[in-house]
Amino acid sequence: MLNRPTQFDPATLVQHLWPLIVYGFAVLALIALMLGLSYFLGQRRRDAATDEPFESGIVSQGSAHVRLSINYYLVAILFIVFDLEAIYLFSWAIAFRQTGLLGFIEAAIFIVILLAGLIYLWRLGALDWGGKQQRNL
Amino acid sequence: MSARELHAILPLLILSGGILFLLLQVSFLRSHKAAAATAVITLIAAIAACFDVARTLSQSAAPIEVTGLLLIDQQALFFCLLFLLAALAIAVLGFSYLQKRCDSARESIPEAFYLLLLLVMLGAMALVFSNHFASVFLSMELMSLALYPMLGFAVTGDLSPRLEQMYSLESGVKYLLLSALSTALGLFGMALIYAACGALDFGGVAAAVANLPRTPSLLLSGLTLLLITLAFKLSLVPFHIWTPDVYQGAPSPVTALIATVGKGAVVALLLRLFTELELFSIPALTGLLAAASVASMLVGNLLALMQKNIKRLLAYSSIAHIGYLLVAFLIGNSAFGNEAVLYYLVAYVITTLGAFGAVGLIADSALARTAGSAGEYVYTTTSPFQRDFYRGLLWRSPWLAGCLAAMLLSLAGIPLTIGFIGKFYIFAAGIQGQLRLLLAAVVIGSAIGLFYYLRLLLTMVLREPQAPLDSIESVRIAVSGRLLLISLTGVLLIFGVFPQILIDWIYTL
Repeated sequence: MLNRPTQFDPATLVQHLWPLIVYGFAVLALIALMLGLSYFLGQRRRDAATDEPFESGIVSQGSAHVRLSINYYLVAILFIVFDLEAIYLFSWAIAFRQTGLLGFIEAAIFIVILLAGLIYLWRLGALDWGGKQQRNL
Repeated sequence: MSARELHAILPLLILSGGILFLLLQVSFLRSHKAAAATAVITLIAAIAACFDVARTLSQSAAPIEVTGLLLIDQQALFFCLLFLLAALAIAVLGFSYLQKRCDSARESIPEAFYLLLLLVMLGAMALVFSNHFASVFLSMELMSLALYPMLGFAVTGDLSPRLEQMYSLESGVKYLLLSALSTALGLFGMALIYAACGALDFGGVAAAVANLPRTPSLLLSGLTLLLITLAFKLSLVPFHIWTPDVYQGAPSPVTALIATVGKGAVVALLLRLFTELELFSIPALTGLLAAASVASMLVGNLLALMQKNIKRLLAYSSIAHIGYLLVAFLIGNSAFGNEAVLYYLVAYVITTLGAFGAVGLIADSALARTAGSAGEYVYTTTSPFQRDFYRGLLWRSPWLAGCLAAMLLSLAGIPLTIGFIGKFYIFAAGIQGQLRLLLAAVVIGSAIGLFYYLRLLLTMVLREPQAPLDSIESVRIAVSGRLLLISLTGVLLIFGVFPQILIDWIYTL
């Protein structure tokens, strides 16, 4: 039997949740205290170096706007896609004996679809790093 | 899963198989024509499978439930058939669009268009069949995810005009961001529904709703959030802002796809959701839908009134048309309302497909290759989507103007077209359901609509004032595009003159 609220009742909800609410207010109060104390007690000065980024005491060099190769993003997103698919295989692997032959067939179909996707990406040159290479199609 | 269940999802299996085959085919044989042929064959096979499953269903007379996620019934199969036929038309339009813009020897991959088209169809059909909130979410996402790259597909065509690429990209990004937002709202809504009912399958939710003494606010807020997602996909009025920009920027075949299949599948889902969960009895939800419907009819038509860009005009008019459709939807759980929704949807799909198809094909014919070494295509006029470009179209290409005129008359609801029968159904449904306010909005909306459709028609008839007759060049369109437009016009007239054929068919569902 599922234990589910049939009615959204604020009164009982507050009863159950008051520690969480108190905790939330405590967090806010702590942040206000930390920011407030440093604002009132801290010293204020405007030097030449005030607005410079602080990097372990070393003067920073160059610009942070580095141009990355667009291929990086492509490979990264492909990695994420295939990485996520692998999670489904893990959940199948722990239940391998219970799912039996049917589970094996279903997982095989899944892997074949992934493989077809990989072949497509490979043949279309999505995995080529560093510009298009001459290919004979 | 029994053999019977496997047979019931045969259309989905064929589409999935076709997608896999096309993936491998494109990997080893780069040919635009071959990819289009594979897509068309897959779609035709899926259509045949739909008929086959429908025959099995009519023998057993009971809907087949597949793994609790999908429910196959006659009505869903009818929707699928409609969408598959629309997809077939879009494949033809897409071929005409891509042939001019993609040079396969270079970097563009026109084949991906057909892959994405089949993926959208898979999502749309699974959405129509879905009987569980998990499959609703999954198939809606599949449809949207395949639509994002399709909306930005002009970028893939390395020969398309620069401006077209920018607009297309804008369209894709806008749809991506807004669709993701609306999906998040809908997902939260589903979570609330689960919290209130403890079930995610439509049957379980319906049982929980029936057992509860009165509709809990938690369930109501969940359903409202879900309704917002669906309203976004249908571009009903408070959620319509994205429509003109996305429709204008997208390649014309994709605009036709998102306007027909994209919206139609959501209408099918809405119909099943409201019937299965018996939501017609909840006044808060029907009230929300009625308000959105009235607003869509009025705002959609008013915004289209002064619109000079044809694609934007059709986008606004599609907002208004979904508003009309909701009137039939709102008369409640009745056979007549169902029939009216189905008929109007068929009329809307045929007409919208024809209108966007004609506009897209006309624009394709205005493309001309530049002399430079880059070989990029440019439009011969300033913009082929402006109303001025249609001035005197009747004299340049009588048959094309005739087809477009039939589509516009059908959109306006003039007799002898399918649009008239659809509008008639809406009126009859509204009168039967005593929905006076909605009917008033239908009348006002139709009157405004008549003005801008007929003005466009008048522009096509006007002669060029200064140009002599011999300088007028005719519009050249490929045979496939011509056949498509003529057959769409034929269907539009046949179902307009002899509506009984379609009515009988819908009645047997």
